[in-house]
Amino acid sequence: MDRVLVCDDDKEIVDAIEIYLTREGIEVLKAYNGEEALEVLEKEDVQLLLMDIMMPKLDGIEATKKIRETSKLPIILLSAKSEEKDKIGGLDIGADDYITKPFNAGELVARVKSNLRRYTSLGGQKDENASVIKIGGLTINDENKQVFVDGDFVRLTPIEYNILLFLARNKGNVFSSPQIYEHIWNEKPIDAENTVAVHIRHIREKIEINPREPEYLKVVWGVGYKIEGDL
Amino acid sequence: MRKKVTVRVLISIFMHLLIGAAFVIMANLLIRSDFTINYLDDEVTYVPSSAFAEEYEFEESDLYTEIYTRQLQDIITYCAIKNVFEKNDKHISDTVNILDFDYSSNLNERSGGLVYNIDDLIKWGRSGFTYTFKEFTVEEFMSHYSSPYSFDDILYHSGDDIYYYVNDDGQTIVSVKFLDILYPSVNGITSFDTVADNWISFIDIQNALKVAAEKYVKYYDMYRNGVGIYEFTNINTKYVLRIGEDRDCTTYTNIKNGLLDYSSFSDDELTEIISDYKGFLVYYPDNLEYSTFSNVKESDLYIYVRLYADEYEDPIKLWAYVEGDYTKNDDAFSIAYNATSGRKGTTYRSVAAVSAILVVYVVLVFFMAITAGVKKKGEYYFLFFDRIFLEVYAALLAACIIVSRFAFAKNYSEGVSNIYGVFLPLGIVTSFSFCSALFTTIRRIRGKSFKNLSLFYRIFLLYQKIRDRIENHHNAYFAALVPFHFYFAINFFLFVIIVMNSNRDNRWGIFIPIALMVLVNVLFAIRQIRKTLDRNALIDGIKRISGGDIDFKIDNEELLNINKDLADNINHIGDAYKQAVNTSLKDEKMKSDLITNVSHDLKTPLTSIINYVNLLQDENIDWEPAAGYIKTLEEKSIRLKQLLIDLIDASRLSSGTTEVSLSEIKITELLHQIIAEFSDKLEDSGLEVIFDGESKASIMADGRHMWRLMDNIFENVCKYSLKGTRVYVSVRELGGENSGKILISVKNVSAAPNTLQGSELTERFIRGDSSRSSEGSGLGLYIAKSLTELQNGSFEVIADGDLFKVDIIFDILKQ
Repeated sequence: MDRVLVCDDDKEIVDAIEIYLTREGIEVLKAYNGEEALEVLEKEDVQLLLMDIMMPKLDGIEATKKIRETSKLPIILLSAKSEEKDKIGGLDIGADDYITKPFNAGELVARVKSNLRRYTSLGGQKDENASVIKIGGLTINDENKQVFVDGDFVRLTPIEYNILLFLARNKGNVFSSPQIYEHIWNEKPIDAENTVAVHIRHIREKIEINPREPEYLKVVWGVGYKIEGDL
Repeated sequence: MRKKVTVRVLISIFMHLLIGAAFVIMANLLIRSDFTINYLDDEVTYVPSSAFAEEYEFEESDLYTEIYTRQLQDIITYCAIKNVFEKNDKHISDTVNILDFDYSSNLNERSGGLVYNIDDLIKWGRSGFTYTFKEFTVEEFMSHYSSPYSFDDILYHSGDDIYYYVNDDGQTIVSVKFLDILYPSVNGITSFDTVADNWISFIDIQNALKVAAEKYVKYYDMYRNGVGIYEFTNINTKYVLRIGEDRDCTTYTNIKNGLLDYSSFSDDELTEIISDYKGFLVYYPDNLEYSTFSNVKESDLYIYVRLYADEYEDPIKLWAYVEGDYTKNDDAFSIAYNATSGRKGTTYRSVAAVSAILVVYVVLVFFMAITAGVKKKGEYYFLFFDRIFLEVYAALLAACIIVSRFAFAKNYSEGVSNIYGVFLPLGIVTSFSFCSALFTTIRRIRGKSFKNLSLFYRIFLLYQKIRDRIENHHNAYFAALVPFHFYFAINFFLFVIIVMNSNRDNRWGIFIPIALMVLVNVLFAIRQIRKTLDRNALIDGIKRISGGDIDFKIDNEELLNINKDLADNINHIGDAYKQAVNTSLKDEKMKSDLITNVSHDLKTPLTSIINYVNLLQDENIDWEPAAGYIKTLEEKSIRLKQLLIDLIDASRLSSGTTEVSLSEIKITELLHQIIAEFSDKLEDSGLEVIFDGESKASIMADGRHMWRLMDNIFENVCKYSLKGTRVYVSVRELGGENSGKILISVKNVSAAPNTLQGSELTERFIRGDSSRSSEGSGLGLYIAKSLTELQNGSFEVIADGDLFKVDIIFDILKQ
């Protein structure tokens, strides 16, 4: 059974998270500041750490830095700060994910599970098959046209699948709607933007935990779409 | 201190004495180098071309040749005159027929002649010639003096010696000039009537007598001079001059060599004897024989031989040489030798001495200059005359120089003989003036009192003060008119002086006022220009400060005094403005920080609320209304969350801390992406989107900000539109004066009536429905507008009845 350490100076939040995670069959350990979290980690075997940034004694950033000196344990930071630079700062020091408060319970659980799975399956089954594309938790198997996110099968329409495959094969590159249209439909793009945009939105709703803040299929506003390369 | 000054005074005295000595040495060298040599009828002063560089041997020099030539010429002349006066040992007792002296007619062919004693003629010439006019009637005159001439001929020939006039009786009277006969001729003639047979020859005889007398007077003077020079044996130039042939000749010589009588030698013997001497010269003019060891030219001598041929009567022969003992003898050669070659050693010694003195002097001046006024390092002292005005000091110094000049003017008038009396004091005064002026200047500069202790500077300061007072006077008429009148008065005054002096022959009286006038006007013009420049600087400063350049300061140093106050005050306004801007920026920042911090703190409890509401929802609660309550709690907590996010964004935007990174954005792509994002939500709200626009235009914008602002607009559309209506989204490139811009327009129909103006909708916390009961923070449009403006776009909300329209305009990116 997976064990998750939840650390926040607000006891009620920790309790609520415990309820959500326990429901999903995840064992929860609790801590209320950075130092406590470090102590628990020393004694216990934990698969994931969910930690607030602003805490007394030792804050989340400092604690993450310390943990990263010795361990690759997945860390999800919780913070009231929603600025882009705060998120990037958190990820830069070695956190795996970043959730802003106030958070949606479903999203939180999804992210915890996603990170747990990615962590536990790391170095597991290695698909040498060239027709399988893996990007972070996203797996596309072109042989049987199946898509998995964190191991869960996702049902896509053929067009959605083709768009996702095309972007995944060219990960890191941005494609405008007309470009995507031309590739998928093999036609001159007419009213391409609208068609492609709607399909992309549907794909995102299916593969992303929070479609408004996508992890894989990103919107480059006014330019096009891309799948992030370095996941 | 006292000791230091005493030492300096002693050194100064020593220095002045040094320069005095140098002056004396130089004077000795330069002034005594010119010398005067007496010739027979002339006195010549020579200045050697260079007293320092007489490199040639004396006998080779031009000076030697010139002296020798002139002395030989003198000897030819002197012997000729001597021959006249002393022939046959009759000492100036010869007689002369003065008719021989008439060169105009043939009087000398007249029988008998008019013979005078030479000494009588000399005496007559010395006492001068006087005339008496005698008057005749024309008839009388013509009967006596006319034959064979007519009266007109006589008038024509006589010049000043005759004139005529008509007397009261109507008779023509002739007035004739008669020489007063002071000495009778040898044969006792006391009137020329007996010799002259007409008036013209009468006049000629009178003139001839005058010429003869003057000639003998001159000869006599030269003879006396010559006796004093060429008869003495102690001159270097030795000569033998013979008139006539061997044996039957007259010999003139200044060689007295023991028992040897040179007159007894034959010509060839003479030549042989003297041929060993320096400057040997033998000259037989009639035989065209000339030979010499000197540079004397035959032609220079021949002129004189020709000139005095009459006096010699017989051919002459000349032998000469130079004894060459320049120290023993006292003559032209020894004077010239001592003044030039003889002083070579003195020259070098003098120059060496003066050079040494100058080196020592320069070293001392340098030392004195370095130590002048220095008490200790960085500490200075002043003597009493360092504290008086510079101009007064200069005047005192000038007075000192003038007084000392008078003091030794007496010595100066005594001339060259008193070199010490003239040049020693001159040197001392020169050195004193130079040193005291230099050292007081150094002390004043060191003590930083140079400018302040100047009368001109003080006067200038006073003038400046008065001028600034007047120009800054609070009474505008006074401030404007007094300088103008003053300026006008000076010009007028100078003009009047120029006009007055232009009538007289007073060049300075015109030149100086004109120069002053030019100066005054140039200064006035410069001041006017500076005033204008100041004005421009002040205006520029005001413009920049009012234009928002709050750090700008007008440079006070460059301005005229009268404008400094003004500049200061403008700078103060700038400072106050800057302070106000900074305070307001700081306030805004604090407000923004406060809002952000409070919002963050609010998020934590809100997280618990949202989570526990969620947990409640998952519970099966039997009581029916509870589900409704929980639903309300959920909705309100989510709204609270959105409010907080909007609040943070709005406060960031208003405090200017939002970052922007611009990149190329395709408008059509963007709008499609956004419409796609909202497709479900719009459908839920029962709205249909009509998109109109095929523009391929791009703009420079920040993609995330564009998303956020369009997100806000579409959120609004979803929330406030009337169900079942259409939403028009259009993109249009503008023309006309807005060419190069693109308009994005979103139109929808409001569900509730709009009660506010479009512009008021974008104000913070103002919403279309004034009841403020529905969803949304009211910050949405404000954020959208601020984000648009942050990306250099313009944002306008138009509420026309139920029609609600948002117009966004951006500059099209030129490809």
